[in-house]
Amino acid sequence: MLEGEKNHIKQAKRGNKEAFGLLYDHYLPKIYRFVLLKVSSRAEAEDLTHEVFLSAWQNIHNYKDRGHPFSSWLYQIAKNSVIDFYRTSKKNLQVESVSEEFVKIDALHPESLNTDLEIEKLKRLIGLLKPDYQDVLIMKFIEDLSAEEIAANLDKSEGAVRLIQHRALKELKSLYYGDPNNNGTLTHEA
Amino acid sequence: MERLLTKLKSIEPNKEFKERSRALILNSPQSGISIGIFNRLLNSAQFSAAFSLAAIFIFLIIGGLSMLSQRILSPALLSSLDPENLTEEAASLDFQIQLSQAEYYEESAEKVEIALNETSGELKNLENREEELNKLLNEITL
Amino acid sequence: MNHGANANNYKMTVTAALAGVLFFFSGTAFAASAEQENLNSLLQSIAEKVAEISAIAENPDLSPKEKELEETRVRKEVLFLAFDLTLLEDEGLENKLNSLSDLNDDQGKIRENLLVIFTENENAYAEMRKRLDEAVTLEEVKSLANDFKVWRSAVYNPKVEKVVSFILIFRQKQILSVAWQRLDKIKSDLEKLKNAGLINGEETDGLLKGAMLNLETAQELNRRAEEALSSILAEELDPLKAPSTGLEKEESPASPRELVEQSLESTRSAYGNFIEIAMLVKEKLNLK
Repeated sequence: MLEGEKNHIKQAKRGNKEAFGLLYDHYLPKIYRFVLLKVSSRAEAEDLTHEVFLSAWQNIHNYKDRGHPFSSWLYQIAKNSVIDFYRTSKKNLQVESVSEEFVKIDALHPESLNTDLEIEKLKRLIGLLKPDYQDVLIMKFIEDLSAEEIAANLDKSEGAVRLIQHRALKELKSLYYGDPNNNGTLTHEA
Repeated sequence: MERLLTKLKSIEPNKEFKERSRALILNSPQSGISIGIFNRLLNSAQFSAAFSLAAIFIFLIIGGLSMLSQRILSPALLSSLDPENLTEEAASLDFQIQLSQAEYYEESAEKVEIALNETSGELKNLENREEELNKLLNEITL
Repeated sequence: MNHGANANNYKMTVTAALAGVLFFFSGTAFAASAEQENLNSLLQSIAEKVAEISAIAENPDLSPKEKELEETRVRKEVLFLAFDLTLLEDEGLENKLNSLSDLNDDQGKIRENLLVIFTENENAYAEMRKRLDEAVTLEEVKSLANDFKVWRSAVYNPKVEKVVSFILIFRQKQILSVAWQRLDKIKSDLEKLKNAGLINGEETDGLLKGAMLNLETAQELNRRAEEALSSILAEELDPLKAPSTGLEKEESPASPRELVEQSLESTRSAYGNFIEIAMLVKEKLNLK
């Protein structure tokens, strides 16, 4: 959570741009990562992320602190944006079709080559998982949220979050280390 | 696997995208303001229904246009009209490399010919012949 | 609003942007490729060796016999270097030809014909190399140098010209395809902005038209380059079918390479128009 977040939100609701700007700066990387790992294309992730924050800015007067963190409101907007995106574009996500433009492999440092390839592979595979699985894995391992926070963000119980986490990791491992029945093609379920 | 997942923390949005997106969003009006007025207009309907309806209609259009302009101004659209992107694209089409490579072969042909002329003694022969010709011409004209 | 000053600002910035591209590539075009570096290095070595020939001739400390021996040695070295350079150029061009992809049938056939050049060259090298290895006297070396010079001038250089032209023409087709797509995208985006009332198109329409004309010119020039090259190649395959020349023509037509170079320049100008449009839009929308 951003320091002084409650005050920033209050100010932003009154139309204070600087206050919203601080919220934007803090949450942009998280929302961007969240969206990118779901849509796998940088251009689309940028577009959707922009829409998320635009929507947040224009609707923040509707935001009420009901005990859930501000981030959960943003994640909800992001999830809805991704659902809309898939509904309108009807994408079949294939491993081969993912853009590699945002992965710059440093040819002068071979040791980074393996890391970059690993990251690229992971990105693609996460994009193949069910939305719930993606959400939990991203929030847990990439954004370092606790089970309690994840549960609040996703409107689930902590127990449900832990179960999803366990299943998601299992499926991701099987994709990553090679499941002969998995040909890398999955119709994304919005 | 957990260790691998944490590596994804390194994903960051592009700096230019961030600046453009931020500027566009913060420079756009909050539709909450027009909605507040919309609500007040609704409440004032009892006094002038026609006026309120017209005003509502206008606000809807303005609000709609505002949303539309924000969609149009999304960074992904504007990347096609981004001077830096276009400059990069022009550079990647490597006009100059194509032209430079073509020029190289012309230059090489010329330099190697000069070198081979010298090596074959042709240059010396040519110079000698020219000298002789000049001498003869001088004798004739004198 | 000072339109004149703004227009000048745009032009200066666009010129700077394209000059930056030009400067970057003119400085790094050769350094960017190891092959190009080797070629330049060989050219340099040849020039240095040739300078040694004059130095030997002017050296007062050498007897005539010593001069002859030294000159023979150095002239042979020049020839070795010139052979190496020619072989390296050949190899580079052959690789470039082979690396072209997505050729249509006609282009594929032309490529096959051009690749034959390298086989023919190999035979010529083999023969000259044998003579160079066996050359002992100064006269033998000079004679070989003359033959090699004539061969390069009459046979090798024209072949290289064809190969270079073909590669340029093909590459320019790909470049034009990208440029046309870019034009279409910009046109469509400008329409959206106009329809939303965010720009009025007064300034951008003219630039867009300019870009279109530049690309059309580029397209036509590249087409003529391809035609000219096909004509030259056809003439080689069947000289009897070649159109009669000389009397009807008053000036020699532009070579395929000259035409495609002009085409590249036109395309570059189109990109200048694109960048100008983008900067105008940026200013109109007050974007940083």
